[in-house]
Amino acid sequence: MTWLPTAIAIGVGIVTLLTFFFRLPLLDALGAAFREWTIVLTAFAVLLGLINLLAVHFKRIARRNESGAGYSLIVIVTALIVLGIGLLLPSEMLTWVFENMYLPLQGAFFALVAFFLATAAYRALRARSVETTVMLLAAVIVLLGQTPFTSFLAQAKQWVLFVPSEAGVRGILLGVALGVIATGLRLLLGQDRPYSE
Amino acid sequence: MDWIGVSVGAILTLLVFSYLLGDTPLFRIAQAIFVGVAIGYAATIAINLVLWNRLFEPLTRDLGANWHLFVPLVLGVLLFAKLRADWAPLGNLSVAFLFGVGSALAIGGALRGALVPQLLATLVPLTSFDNVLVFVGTIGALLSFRFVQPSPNQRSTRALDGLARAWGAIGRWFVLAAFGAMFADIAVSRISILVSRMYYLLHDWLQIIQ
Repeated sequence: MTWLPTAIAIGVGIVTLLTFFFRLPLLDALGAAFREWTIVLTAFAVLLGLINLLAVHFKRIARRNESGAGYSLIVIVTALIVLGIGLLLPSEMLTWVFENMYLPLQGAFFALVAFFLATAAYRALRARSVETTVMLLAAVIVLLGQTPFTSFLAQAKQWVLFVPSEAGVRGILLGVALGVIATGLRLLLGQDRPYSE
Repeated sequence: MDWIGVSVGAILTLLVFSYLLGDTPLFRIAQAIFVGVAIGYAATIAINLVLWNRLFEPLTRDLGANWHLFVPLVLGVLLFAKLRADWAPLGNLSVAFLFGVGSALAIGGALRGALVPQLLATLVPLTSFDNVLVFVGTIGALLSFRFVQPSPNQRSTRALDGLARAWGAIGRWFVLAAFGAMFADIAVSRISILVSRMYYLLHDWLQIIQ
């Protein structure tokens, strides 16, 4: 039976890929159904992830002497409370949790990154290599170009963004796209079978 | 009710900012709460907006017209076999389905959304210095990620490899400029978020600034 997962992956993958190149009613219907089923399956995968995460934290609490058991308890209690609010109470309560707990926490974590970026820039300056100097020079021009000091800086920022930076990003994007296509084709040809592990 | 919400948000923000003093227990508590809220919220969205709206509601409304939804239902149930090591092979069918569709969509997306548009944008007339720089930089940046060893015996291959290495070395500078610009953009966005968090604390919560 080990061939069945490979057959499923290759079959549904090739049908889905063909929908990008051909317009046939049956192919379109199959492709649309596969996409819809994938969305549903992803939701099941999210629930599986939730159960797995809760199980890991339950085990940590069960092993009494383990450090961080208290934090695991907070994770479990918070997750179950939010899940209960979302499933049992009116949707306004879940919106309240999102606006007054999730958004402030997410914003604060992102804001914290500003301090780490400043530290990273300082360390890069201390490294004193030509590469980091070029990188920081581009960063400083883009940063100062957003301030209303001189129009020259704004023009320099535009040039950095639309010539050297664009070329670099485009090269990276092309490399990523080629990598994705190669990896995807290896999966569709059955050469890589991560689902059989 | 609104004041309670703002206070909860402000206290959670302060818990996160306590990291500036070190890896404190208060920061760890904020981390744990964030993980709990995030997974609870994600699971609620998955159940309410996907599983109920797209699976169970259509099945209970009209079973005959939506019989095909039994396929994702069965595959979804099989996915939970992954929780037990001896049943895990059953879950491979669902994972294979996800990988099959996912890889096909990734190939299609990479072709349509990245490879073709980026190549078309690069293939412009080389009539200005900037266009030449973009062309040389794009190919160079692509070549700078090349890690192939040439065959040692063929002179023509070695010559081509030398050209690719030299062009890749030039492209490396363009990649560094791109990283610098990205660094600056991220720094600006994070500083904006930091300002908005401070405004939230000082205006919305403490109300000491207008």
